[in-house]
Amino acid sequence: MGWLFGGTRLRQRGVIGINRRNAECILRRNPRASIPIVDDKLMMAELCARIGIPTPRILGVIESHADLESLPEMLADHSDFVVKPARGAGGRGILVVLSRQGNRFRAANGRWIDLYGLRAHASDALTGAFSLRGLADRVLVQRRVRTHPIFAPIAPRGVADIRIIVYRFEPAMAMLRLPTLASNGRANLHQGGIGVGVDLQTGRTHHALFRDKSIDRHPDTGQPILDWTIPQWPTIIDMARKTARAVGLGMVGIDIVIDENEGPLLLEANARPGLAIQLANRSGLRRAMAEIDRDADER
Amino acid sequence: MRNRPTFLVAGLALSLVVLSTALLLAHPLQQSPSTKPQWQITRFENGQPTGAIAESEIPQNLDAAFPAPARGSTVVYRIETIPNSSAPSHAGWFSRRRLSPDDLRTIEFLLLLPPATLLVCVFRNVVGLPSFGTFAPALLGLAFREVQSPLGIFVVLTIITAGWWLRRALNELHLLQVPRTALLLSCVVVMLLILIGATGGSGSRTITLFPLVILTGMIERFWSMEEEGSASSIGTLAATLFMAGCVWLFAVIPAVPAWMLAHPETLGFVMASQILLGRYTGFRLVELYRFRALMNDPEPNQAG
Repeated sequence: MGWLFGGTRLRQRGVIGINRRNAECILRRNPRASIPIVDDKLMMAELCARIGIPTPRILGVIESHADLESLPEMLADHSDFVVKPARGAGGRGILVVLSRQGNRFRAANGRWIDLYGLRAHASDALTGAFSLRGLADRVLVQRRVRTHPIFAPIAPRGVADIRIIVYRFEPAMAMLRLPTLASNGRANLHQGGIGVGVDLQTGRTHHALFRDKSIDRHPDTGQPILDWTIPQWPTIIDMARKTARAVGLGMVGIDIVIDENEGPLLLEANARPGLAIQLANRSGLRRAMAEIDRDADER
Repeated sequence: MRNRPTFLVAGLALSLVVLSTALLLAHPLQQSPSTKPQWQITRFENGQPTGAIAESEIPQNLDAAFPAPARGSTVVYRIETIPNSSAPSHAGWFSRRRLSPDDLRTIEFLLLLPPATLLVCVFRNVVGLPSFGTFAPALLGLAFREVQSPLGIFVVLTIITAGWWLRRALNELHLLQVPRTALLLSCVVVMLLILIGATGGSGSRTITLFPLVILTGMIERFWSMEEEGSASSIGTLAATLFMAGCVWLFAVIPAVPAWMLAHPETLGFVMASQILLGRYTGFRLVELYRFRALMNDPEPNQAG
């Protein structure tokens, strides 16, 4: 129960909590007008196209229930794809299809789903079943990202993604998220994914956390996780910085994946980035933010 | 730039506190003499006392103030003044005497709502518990109070369980979301009616518009959250019910609604607390647990 009295110690180490994040970073640094852009994956994709940031290719957009008719046509040439609500909150409503047999599709969670089920899912998404406040939504069908083979030993299932928190348009902290068997293909820490702290300067992994414990090997494959260098790191950092500037948010989480053919792709931006990144990096965000503040004020 | 709003916030909270305190202290002056009964009227039938009332003014027609006496009996009224000490010392802004029970219930509900939401704020922002809907726990807790028993919790649990199974079944029908939620609401209504029938009408006070909508909303949210794993949605449900239970425990203490009725200016303190809570940027209790690994780490010797 010692943790009950550790608040001061956390503060000294520069750890920030949700309340402080909301008050001092989001309310203060994120103009409300900019938030709808990052919350809508389609608007975000358009913005990225304008500023030359690569994103996963969009195979089709479903704007209304009438568009649902065109779904079979849209998918005709594709056997693997991702169906996403444009404004899905917290990764909800994302359906990953790995392969197909005729009109039956195998989802990443192992279930088979038919065209009718796919339509129903898209219809739910259109009515806002997965959006932040139940608002009517649009649905996009995206090319499925194939993780760069370099990650194969440490991300045997699902997609490894890189989360960079950009504060006042400078990268503050980075983490690599790895899915595990236990996390069912998802990479969120609280769902059983692994959070790996990444050194901002070098792109080298230096600490990994799985289920509240520091680890140095992947729990599924037994492969070492630490001391990896993420390929094309300078490009990734650059993308994060450029995207943050374009959306105009002073505190933003940028998610990037590395595709085996297309290289780093921007997946999404988040105006309310989670704080688990501090655990993965074993360090408080406030320290990094203070450094950025100092540099910004000197200029 | 940072100081001015802080100053404003503190000033606003402080002025609310000062204003409420002033109102609270000035209270005895507010008390209008007319609300205080001054006359005790006792009726005697054939020498036996058969009724008594306390009034602030002597009624014009004394016979009308009492039920009709037995035929042929001799009726005598005795009128006495009530000494000051026997009258309630605080009649309050909302006098129980002047309000019909229905009005009283509505006003009590309104007066209890802000303190209940304050409780929810504390649980969410200081403790860090998750809940379905921001104020569902407050409304649910006050709804429990209306049923005045653990029956409320039982009703809610039954409906959520049954509703969850129903929602599962409805999923197979591939209905559009809005009609599906409407259908779910209809089903919740039917379940509530059956429950009321089964309890012989004693449960009828559970039916207020709010909880009904809340319950349906909770089932939908519970369902959509299940995607992220049953553990987290059941946890959120448990936390929601826990908060509602605390609100209920708080609101069933008879002194609480009595105090709020007599001193509605307490709302000023509630609002001041809400303003101050809105500025609380410290750790939430659950975060201390979540980040506990960072407390014990040896200090890494990094720049800054």
